[in-house]
Amino acid sequence: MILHLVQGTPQESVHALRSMLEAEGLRTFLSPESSRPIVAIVDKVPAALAAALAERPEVSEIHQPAGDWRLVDRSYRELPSVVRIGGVKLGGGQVSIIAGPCSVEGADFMFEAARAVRSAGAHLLRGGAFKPRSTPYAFQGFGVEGLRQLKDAGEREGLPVVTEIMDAADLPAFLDHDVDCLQVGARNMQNFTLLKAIAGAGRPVLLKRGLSATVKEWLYAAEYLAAGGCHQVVLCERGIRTFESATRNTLDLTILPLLREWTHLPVVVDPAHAAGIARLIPPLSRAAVAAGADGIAVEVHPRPELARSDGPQALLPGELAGLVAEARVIAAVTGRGLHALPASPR
Amino acid sequence: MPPESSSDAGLRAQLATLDRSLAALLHERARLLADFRDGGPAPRAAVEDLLRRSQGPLSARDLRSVFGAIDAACGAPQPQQGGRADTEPLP
Repeated sequence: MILHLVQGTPQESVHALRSMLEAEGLRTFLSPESSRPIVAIVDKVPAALAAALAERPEVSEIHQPAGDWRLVDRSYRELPSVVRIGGVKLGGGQVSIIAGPCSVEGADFMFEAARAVRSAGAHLLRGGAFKPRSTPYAFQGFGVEGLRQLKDAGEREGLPVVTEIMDAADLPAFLDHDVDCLQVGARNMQNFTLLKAIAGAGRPVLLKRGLSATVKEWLYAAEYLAAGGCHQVVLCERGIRTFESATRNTLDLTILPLLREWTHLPVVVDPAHAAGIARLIPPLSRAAVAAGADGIAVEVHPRPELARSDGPQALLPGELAGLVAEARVIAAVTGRGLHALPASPR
Repeated sequence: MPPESSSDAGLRAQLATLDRSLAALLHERARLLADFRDGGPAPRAAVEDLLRRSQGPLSARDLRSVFGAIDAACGAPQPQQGGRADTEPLP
């Protein structure tokens, strides 16, 4: 249950209300919302107490989330939340583009890739240093050295970086290299030990949807992060496994408007991992922006035929520039805009 | 004056939506131009390329006129007088 209190309710009254609820054995959270106090009650509220709450003068509205989540529920914020990754905002009526190679493949390569990403007009640099590959014989990434190469390239081009963490034991290395956003991949979406470990790291988290996860399971995973203290969560739809075998996965755009109703979290769409075929990515990106995505995540490689992973789904830099231009047009006609480029360090 | 038909009302609503989209795109174009930081004049619209791809119904003269106004609003330098005639039909 989410309680919206009357605007201007004094802090002492909010505190007294929470104390009363906690004395009843109910755990509560106070929203970071600044416009008015919003209190989430985690546990099931007995009917008599719910009726009493509705009568209290400081309570203006009572909301029931559509699922068994609280802190990621739409009603826990007055407006949809905006996540800041470096100087780039996700959400809030602006569309941002995350781009970069699937894998970090060396320092010089990353400088070249980052330059291409910036030139094309994308906002955030991605690249995998720790790679969750389907077979143990595929390239597993450069690990900590890859983090350094990614961060150096991002700093040179003024692009905040996003990269996947697979093991909580690696978190100190991610923080030492000042990774701007931690990505939790599809395979780890329900790795609750990992979610709890990174929730308190003070970094934004990009949470990919699991290969076979329902929307509710995905939001429960996001709730783990929020309950652990992470209020900077971005959801990423990357396709789900279905009976269709013509594409790698099926991009589930149906859930975008539904997520707008259920959660305040911004949503990014990754059409590359859904399609697995580069030429399908531009039209899927257009569809995602038109359906309300706050951002697009794609892979780009200067020489896809030589990529150490996922080459067939990598765009060429010129194709990325076209995708950014089309996203700008579609964002504008849907009443939004493309995010401004981050400041250049030069 | 006869009452407006429902189809006219629908067309009027579509026009209003398209006008809002055009305005949004023009603002977005101006924002993109603001990202040019070399200090030079703003680039002009590539009108000849647009004309090659255009299939009407606006004439070449009208399209040139519209983009001339957009360039002027965005601070791009104006073309020299006496250039290519602007009355030829679209390809």
